Amino acid sequence: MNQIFQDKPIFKYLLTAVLIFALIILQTTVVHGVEVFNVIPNLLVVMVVCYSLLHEDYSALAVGAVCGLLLDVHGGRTVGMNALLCTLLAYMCVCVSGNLYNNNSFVALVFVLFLSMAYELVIYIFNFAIWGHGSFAFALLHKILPGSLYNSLVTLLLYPLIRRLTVF
Amino acid sequence: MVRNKKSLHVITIIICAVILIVMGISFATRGTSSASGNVLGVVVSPVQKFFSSVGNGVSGFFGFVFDMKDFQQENLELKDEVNRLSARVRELEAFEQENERLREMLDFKSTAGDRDMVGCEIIAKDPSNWFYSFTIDKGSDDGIQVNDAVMSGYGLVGRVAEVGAGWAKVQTIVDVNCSVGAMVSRNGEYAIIDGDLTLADKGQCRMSALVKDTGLVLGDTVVTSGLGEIFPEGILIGTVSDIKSDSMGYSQYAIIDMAVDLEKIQEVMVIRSGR
Repeated sequence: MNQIFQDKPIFKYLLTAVLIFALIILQTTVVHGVEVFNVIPNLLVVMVVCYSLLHEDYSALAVGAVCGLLLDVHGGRTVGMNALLCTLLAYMCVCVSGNLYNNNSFVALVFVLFLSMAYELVIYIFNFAIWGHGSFAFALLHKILPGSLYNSLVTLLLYPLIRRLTVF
Repeated sequence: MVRNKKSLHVITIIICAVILIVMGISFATRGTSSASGNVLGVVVSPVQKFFSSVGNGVSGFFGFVFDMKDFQQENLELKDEVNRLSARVRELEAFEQENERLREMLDFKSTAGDRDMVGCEIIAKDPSNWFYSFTIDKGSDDGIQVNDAVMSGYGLVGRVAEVGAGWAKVQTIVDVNCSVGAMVSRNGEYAIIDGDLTLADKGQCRMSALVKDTGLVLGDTVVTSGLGEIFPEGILIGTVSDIKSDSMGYSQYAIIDMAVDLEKIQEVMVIRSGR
């Protein structure tokens, strides 16, 4: 089975596309049913970081851009903000991971934790802080930290799945 | 594995530049749906509709397990409430008939009855933790337009922010980018309701532009004022739960408990303005 996929990389990309499609559907529907302390995990951000760590190639940038674009389209604000951020997350993973990452899900969890914090912080700054909405302490304690922690916990479930479906 | 780091930097810069151009176009054409958004809406909406019902089931199951102990007490309270409201309904029916007779005598038209509304189902919610928008299963094909008001049986929900052929995105009134012209039912005082990040999760919003010695009291109901031409007059927004002074002490603001529970809402009605 793996041999078939190795011979035809198109399957790899097809499976990645299906996975992204499934994740955006879950993100906008079912995930809201498992809200904890008013916070939901961001499956697409977890996907971008895990995929980038596992592949470390140009396809990670494409996955970042597509996942971000999907978040933008479903978010209802200016398209591009999430796309830009997710592409940069993928870029950072590809650049940094070579020395630190050794196919270990714990390392992926730490990457997701810190990169989610950076991602949420930028979202807060550009959408709220510069317009004078919401205090930083509230954003940090009620949105950024819990959201990032939830993302890193979800990594334990998603990382093996992403690895199984996209790495041959 | 990327061997040539320089090409990685170049490709990243190219992708970011393309995204920035898309951002510019999106900003310039805000409100109207792009072709890609429309195609995506057509493909994704039916799947979201299915998974949305699954999500509501998951949410409902966890809610049922966690709230089990409160159900018995709540049930008793609700039975009392039903008895009390049944008596009130009978009383109001008499008033309604009397009101109709008097209206006919004065040749008034009922504004509520004239509203052109369409029922919609919520099929997707905002994927982030920051915003409070959702997608409904009807769009421009059903006559829905940007800035049409959205309400539920309990009160005001928000406004249509973006429209596609078979879907529309609704910005709720707890969103920080949403403002509503409001009026206190009891004394007719005008104010503005704004979304507030720190209150949104609790289903509350902030009512500002009140004079210093406002006659507002806790429990006052707040309705739309009709000013601003987006939200029709007289739709219930919520009740006053707290009154506070601003840091300078010149004016006051109030915390409003929304009449609609956005966490549990599954269907809404869009008031077609036909602008």
